Amino acid sequence: MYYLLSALIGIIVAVMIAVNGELTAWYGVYPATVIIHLVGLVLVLVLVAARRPRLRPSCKLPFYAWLGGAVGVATTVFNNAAFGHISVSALLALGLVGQTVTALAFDHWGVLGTPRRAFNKKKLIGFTLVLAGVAVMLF
Amino acid sequence: MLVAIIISLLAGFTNVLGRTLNAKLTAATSQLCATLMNYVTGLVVSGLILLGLWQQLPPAAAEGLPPLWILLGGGALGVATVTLLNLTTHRISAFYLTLLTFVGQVFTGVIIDIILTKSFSWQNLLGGVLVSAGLAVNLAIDRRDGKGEVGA
Repeated sequence: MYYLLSALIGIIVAVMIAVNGELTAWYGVYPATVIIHLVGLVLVLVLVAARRPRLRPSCKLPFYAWLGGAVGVATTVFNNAAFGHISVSALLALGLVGQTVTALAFDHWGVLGTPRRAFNKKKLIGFTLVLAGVAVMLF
Repeated sequence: MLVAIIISLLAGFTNVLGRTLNAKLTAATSQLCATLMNYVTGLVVSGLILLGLWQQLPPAAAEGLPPLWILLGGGALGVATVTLLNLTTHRISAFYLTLLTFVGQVFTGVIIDIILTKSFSWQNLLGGVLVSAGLAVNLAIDRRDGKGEVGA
């Protein structure tokens, strides 16, 4: 069941990017981004009201721990702005390329406290396949 | 098209950066608190950007409200994604979670393109197969190296 759920998460992410793109076509990139976050916040507040967690955050957090939401805005803006200019397949595939390269760089250099793991050159085989796939989609 | 390619790649970069930062916040508080903070800061930042750019914004493309599924769908699906990820993480291996999530995205993208363009593209399907195969190869290498997940 959790395998199906994992695939479902991927399906939802793809549909979400397309729906957000439609909202962008209606209102523009920045108003759409605000609406997306507003709707999300209202729903999270409903979850918070239902579960009543302890909401006192730790004071020892580094300042950048609060920046995740701001960085999330950039992700939404980028996806909304790219929608309609390339195919949804290419947009999603390029996003996954960006994620994989960033994750590897974070691992390789231990960025933001990520445990260091040296880049395995065998992964160039996988990257070649991914880039070939993206090229086939785009050209 | 070049600009769209670059910002799609950047979306992948900010996705991992945001996830890494949120993982730290989650470790120090709780998943729900971190998600709440994520949306609060997200709304404040996007609101400030909107206010800052207000004068330069083009008028809305259409009058009135869009259909509800467009207006509310994206925000709701974002929260659904976070909730389902919390449900699934640690219940199956990170290898399968990441692989299935990625493959689900790629092939749903192919289907969405068929719906939007009302035509089937062999290039998108072949590209989807190649991208999935490449991601699977790299994730398998990660797993053999003792690291199950791509990303933070």
